[in-house]
Amino acid sequence: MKTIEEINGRIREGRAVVVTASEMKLIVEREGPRASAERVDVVTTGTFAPMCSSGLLLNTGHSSPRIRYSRAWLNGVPAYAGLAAVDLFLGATALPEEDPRNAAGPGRFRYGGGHVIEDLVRGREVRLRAEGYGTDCYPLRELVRTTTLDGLRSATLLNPRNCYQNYAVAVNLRGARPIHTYMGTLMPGAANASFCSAGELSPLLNDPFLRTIGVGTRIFLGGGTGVVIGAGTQHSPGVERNARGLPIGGAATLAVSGDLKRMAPEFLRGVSVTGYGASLAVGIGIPIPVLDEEMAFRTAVRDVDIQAPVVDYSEDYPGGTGEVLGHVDYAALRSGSITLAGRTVRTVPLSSVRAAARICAGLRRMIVEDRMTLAGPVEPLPG
Amino acid sequence: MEFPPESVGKPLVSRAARSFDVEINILRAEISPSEVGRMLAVLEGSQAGIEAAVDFLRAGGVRVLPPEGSLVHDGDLCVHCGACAGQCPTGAFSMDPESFEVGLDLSACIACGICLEACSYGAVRPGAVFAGKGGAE
Repeated sequence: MKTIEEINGRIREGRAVVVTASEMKLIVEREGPRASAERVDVVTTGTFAPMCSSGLLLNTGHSSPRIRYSRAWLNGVPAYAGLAAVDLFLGATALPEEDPRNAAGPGRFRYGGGHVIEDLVRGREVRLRAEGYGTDCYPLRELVRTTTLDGLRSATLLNPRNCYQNYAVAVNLRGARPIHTYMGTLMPGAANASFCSAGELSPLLNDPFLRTIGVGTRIFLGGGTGVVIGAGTQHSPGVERNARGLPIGGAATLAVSGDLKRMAPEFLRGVSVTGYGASLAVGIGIPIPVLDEEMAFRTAVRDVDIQAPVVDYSEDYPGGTGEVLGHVDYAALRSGSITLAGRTVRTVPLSSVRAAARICAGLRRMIVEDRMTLAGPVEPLPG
Repeated sequence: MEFPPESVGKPLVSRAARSFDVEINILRAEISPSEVGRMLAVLEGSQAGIEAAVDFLRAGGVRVLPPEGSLVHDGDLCVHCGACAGQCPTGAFSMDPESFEVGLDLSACIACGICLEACSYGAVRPGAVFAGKGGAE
């Protein structure tokens, strides 16, 4: 048994043993969970994929004369202004009013809220346009100027739902034509199946009962650091679990937050999904303390241990029927094809293993170099 | 290959195949409303025969572009998710099973354009083959 305080002491002394999730699988395979728990202090996990429920809470600073924004746009993308005078919330999926969306066939959604966030992180100038209705204290009615991330008074990434614990595999089984979904283009007759999880590298699959992840857990977020602020929207820890304790469908989610000014464009990318919309791909890493033998066992999870539900996005998903066609494991999904009702179906990954591995390695470096210590949960998430 | 309106009606491809002993495997062909013809084809034969066939086609007004012109894969924008590789019908885009990095072999590309739609990060852009083609991009 170890405590997070003891592990932090070792991190400060430069003695902590920190390994990536990939390394941990091999260590536990070789040495067993008990010896691994004694030797390893922290396992770094990671994931990088589109996470639509993301956004930016920003304060632009005041103009003179002052304005109280009633409507505002960043590079033409509308931001929510129903807050204090110059506070705005820019959602990742927000689109310019003039974007044709799907009016003339599947739209391309080349620029939305996620792209504005990426542009800011890249240090690019962004055009701010705002309207106010005019008050005695905020007389200005219109404002147009450029700004940059440095010029913003504050910029906080505030994501209501990220880091899904497992996720559905999408197919188009009964549709007559290709369908355009947030899981990409799906061909009729279940000709392809798309999936979106980092599998054995994914944070919440390495701590499936959220023993070490809760409100206050410090994380890698978008290349900088952030914190878990609570359960994500649609957090659903009651999903059926397999013999290893892993949920066999989308289950727990996290709400997270962090300072955008310390983030990096490699791990925050605007996303354009044909026929669906704009979004933001977010890189998240969570350090998992190996408190005991059980946590060593949990962090040894392999792709073959994790099952995901296959869902028909032509009828069952849009109709909300809750029907599941079957389950497949991530080792099969990663192999390039799965078997569905006796047929071979090509798989299409949407979550980047390479980026997840880079997050695991980057987070390991942050901890080993004592740029980050662990912060345990101050409150558990609903389990 | 791009055929200007005045060349569309001529049997240039079959003449090239016969005259220079080159096999021409046509993967796709279409004529736009402005009567510009476009053809995607694999030429097989001796190096000298292929060069002579290409010279013959060019002399007939045909714009011949090598496969390198089909796509641009931007390594700076690619996140290596593999969505392109999972949908590419020929394996031109593939994912290395060890490094999980996406690679592109343009010699296998048939310029179908599926990857242009599959990529959500702007990392696959149309090359000269697609230039001026309204529908694909």
